[in-house]
Amino acid sequence: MSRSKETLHVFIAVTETSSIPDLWQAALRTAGDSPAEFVALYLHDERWHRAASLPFTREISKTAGTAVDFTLRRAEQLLSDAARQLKNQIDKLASEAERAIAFEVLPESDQVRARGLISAGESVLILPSILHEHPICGEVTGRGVRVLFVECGLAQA
Amino acid sequence: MTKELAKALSVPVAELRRACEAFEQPFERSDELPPGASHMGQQRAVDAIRFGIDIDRPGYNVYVLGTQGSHRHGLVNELIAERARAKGAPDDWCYVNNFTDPERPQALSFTAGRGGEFRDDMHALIEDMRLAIPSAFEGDDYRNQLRAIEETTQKELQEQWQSLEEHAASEGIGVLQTSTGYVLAPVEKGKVLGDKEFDRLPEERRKKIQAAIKRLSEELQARIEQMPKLRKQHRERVRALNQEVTAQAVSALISELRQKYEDMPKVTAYLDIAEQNIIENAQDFRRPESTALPFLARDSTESFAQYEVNLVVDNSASDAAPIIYEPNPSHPNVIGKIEHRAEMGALLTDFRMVRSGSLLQANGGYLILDIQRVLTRPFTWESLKQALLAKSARIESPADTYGLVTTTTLKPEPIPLDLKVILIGERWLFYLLNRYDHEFENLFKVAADFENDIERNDETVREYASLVADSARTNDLLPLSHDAMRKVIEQRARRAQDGEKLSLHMRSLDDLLIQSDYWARKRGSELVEPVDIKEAIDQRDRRLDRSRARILDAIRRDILLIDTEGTCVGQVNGLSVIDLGEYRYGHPVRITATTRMGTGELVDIEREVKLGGAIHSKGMLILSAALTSRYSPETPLSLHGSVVFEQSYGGVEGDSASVGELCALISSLSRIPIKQNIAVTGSINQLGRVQVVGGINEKIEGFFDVCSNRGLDGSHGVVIPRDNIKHLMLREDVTDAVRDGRFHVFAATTIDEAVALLTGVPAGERGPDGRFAHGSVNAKVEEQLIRYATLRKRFGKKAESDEQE
Repeated sequence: MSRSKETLHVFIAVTETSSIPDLWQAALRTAGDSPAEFVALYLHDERWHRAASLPFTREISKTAGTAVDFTLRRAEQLLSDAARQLKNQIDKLASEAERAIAFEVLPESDQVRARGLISAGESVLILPSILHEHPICGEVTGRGVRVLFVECGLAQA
Repeated sequence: MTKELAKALSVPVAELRRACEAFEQPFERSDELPPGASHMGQQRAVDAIRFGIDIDRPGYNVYVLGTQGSHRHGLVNELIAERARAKGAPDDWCYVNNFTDPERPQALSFTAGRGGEFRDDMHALIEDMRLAIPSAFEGDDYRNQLRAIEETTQKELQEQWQSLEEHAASEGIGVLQTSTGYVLAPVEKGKVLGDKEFDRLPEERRKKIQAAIKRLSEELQARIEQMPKLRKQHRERVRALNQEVTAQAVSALISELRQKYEDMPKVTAYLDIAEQNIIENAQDFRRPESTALPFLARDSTESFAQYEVNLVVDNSASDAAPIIYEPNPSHPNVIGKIEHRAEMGALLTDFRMVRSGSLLQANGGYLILDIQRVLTRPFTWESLKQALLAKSARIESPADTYGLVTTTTLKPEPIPLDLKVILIGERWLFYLLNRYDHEFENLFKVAADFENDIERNDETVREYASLVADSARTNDLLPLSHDAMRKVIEQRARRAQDGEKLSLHMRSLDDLLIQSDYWARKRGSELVEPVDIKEAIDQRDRRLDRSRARILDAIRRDILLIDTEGTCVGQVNGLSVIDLGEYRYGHPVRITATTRMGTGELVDIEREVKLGGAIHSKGMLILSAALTSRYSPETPLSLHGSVVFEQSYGGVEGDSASVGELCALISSLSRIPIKQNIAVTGSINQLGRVQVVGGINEKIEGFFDVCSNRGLDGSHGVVIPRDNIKHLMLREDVTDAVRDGRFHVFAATTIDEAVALLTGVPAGERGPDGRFAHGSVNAKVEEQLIRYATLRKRFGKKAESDEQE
């Protein structure tokens, strides 16, 4: 990822439950007409992995009501599906706005990587307001990164 | 031949051609004559047709028997038209969609003209609905009500979910949503516990969590099972709203129609069902949403089309019962058909593609069919009978009837039939159907038999002249002069093959008049004269007589061997007729016979080589019996004789040569030669009587032409059966030759007369001693047969003694 002093780096933190269009609109507003690089950070909280590590958890089907073992493999699959869906969604929005955007998956436990990605300088981190207590906020605070919380709706199922 | 006998047997000139005398009430031109009855001579058939079309009972359909060209169609049409006017126009019939079973379209009947009205009314209704229904769904009222339903449902769902989440949270359990379901997991301080954190919990707490998850899982499963009900409830609410909106939009439109057709319960019942169907399928009438695959989108035009009306029988333009003549009675043309349209590789159909056939078009009236055409079109006859037996028209393809296709197709409601079917055909077909088709006699109980000819007398000739005058008028032809009319009458007798009859074959009469008119106009005349009639006849014969000319040429060049002078033993000139349909001609044929001692066999060579027909063979057997009973009553017939038509390479049918064949045999046995300048025709019975034959005029003229080509010297003539005199209507050149003594026509009653005429030797009668007069032909025949018998006996004894030795 090449950076220049003139370029604004806009990081958009997304989760499965946050409205991507709301966040994207906020990002576009923030960038305005100035040159900007956009990076979507998929913050996933590893709750599926934790739930899957328990031997008695079951996944109950939405449609049939049947229950099956909730395994780590299933958790991985869910994560991968969610990441793909979010990427598709945000790629589409960027394409409509004629902008480019990178997509990164950032596990809750890997804050070191977050630190590496979000460098100091002309950077903005846009998050759903619901994530104001998320560890990533702590990671960027005091590093000159502007943090912008957005009141966004729930993701459309 | 004694001159006395020849004179006695000569047919007077006046009897050779029965001329038409001047009319009692003379006229100069045929257009002065009053109109004649179009059904002259056909009273029997007319009465039968009237009876058939009047009687209102099942199975009383009519079969009109008669030869082609006998004006059967014209007369049937004329008689039916009278009755049809009195009956008035029958009902219209429509097919409409059967909403409960679309494969069985429903039939609706209307008084004449109202079917079309109903079709137009329904079409207008559809156009109105096309606008009214989508508009109703686009209104604010509808949107607000729909939103309210959606909000209610959403609220119910949220409440249920929230209560579950709250309940779970109260027990330290979180509900995690995946893309396909829910996972219940222990939560502490808003964070899902992993295995390590869980293991650190006290055992009692762990057990409690597990129990709670199990219980909550069951509760969640129960709620999920309730979800379809909630969704269904939601759909039903939306559906009820849609129906309400649609009902408001269409009820007013339909009730207007219902009022208009209130006198027709079946129609109003249909309207009720249609209205209900429109309301139940309200969503089909809304403007379709755009889709990624537009070709797969449901076409709303089709949704509206199911309320269209298919008018299959329209009598709006008629005030009389229909008279339908079906010139091509194929199954679809008579019974009807179900058309299909290709759509994305599949063949589709619906009630709108049902097409009626002439059976339904004629319903309430009359259907006229040519039976021969019906029988030669596959499946038509069986389906026609089925329809008449069932008294209803069931439109289906033969493939469906016979189970040849397995795809689903339509079975339209049968339409009740009330019509008369009039079949027109030849007699032989009537007799065949009567004999072999047992349903035929139940369905066609009235036979209308057309006469081929009518008795010729002053009254009928006068009526016939009026008929001829009518035909000239109808065909826009020149009128005929008085003398031309006489020639026409004579030609009609000739056409009837009988001087005492007049042919009722109307097509040939029309042809004669049209062609005579042509020649008269060519002459620049305003009147058809005898010369035009003669020209028409001669020219027609000339156009058709190529094969006759070839035969005459072959005889002239001695390729076809016919002697017309001198005498010959065992050889006689017989007479044959070639029938080419509209044209017949005669020519002589050489018959020869040989005899020798034998065991009583008479060999008909034609029969042996299978060139002789059944009637010819019968004639030969009768001849054989006549010979035996006449000459060999008390001794075994020790004869081997053979008879043949020389240079005949085609089939021989009929028994009209049996007199000639017997004469040839008698000549061969008696060794008395036969005159070759006289030809003979006639059939014989076992007692030696000469009987009538067909084509007598052509036969005489055939021999006359051959002799005339070679030069008539007064010795030439023909022997015919006496009973045939009444059939004579010879050409005028033949009668002129007879009048001048250049040609003779003799009429024989017995074989003896024929033999005496042909040999010039008295045939001889048996005297009191039982023997024929000495020197007579018969005496010589008998002597020869006795000689053969004696020889045979002698040979028999010699053979016996040779065997003993």
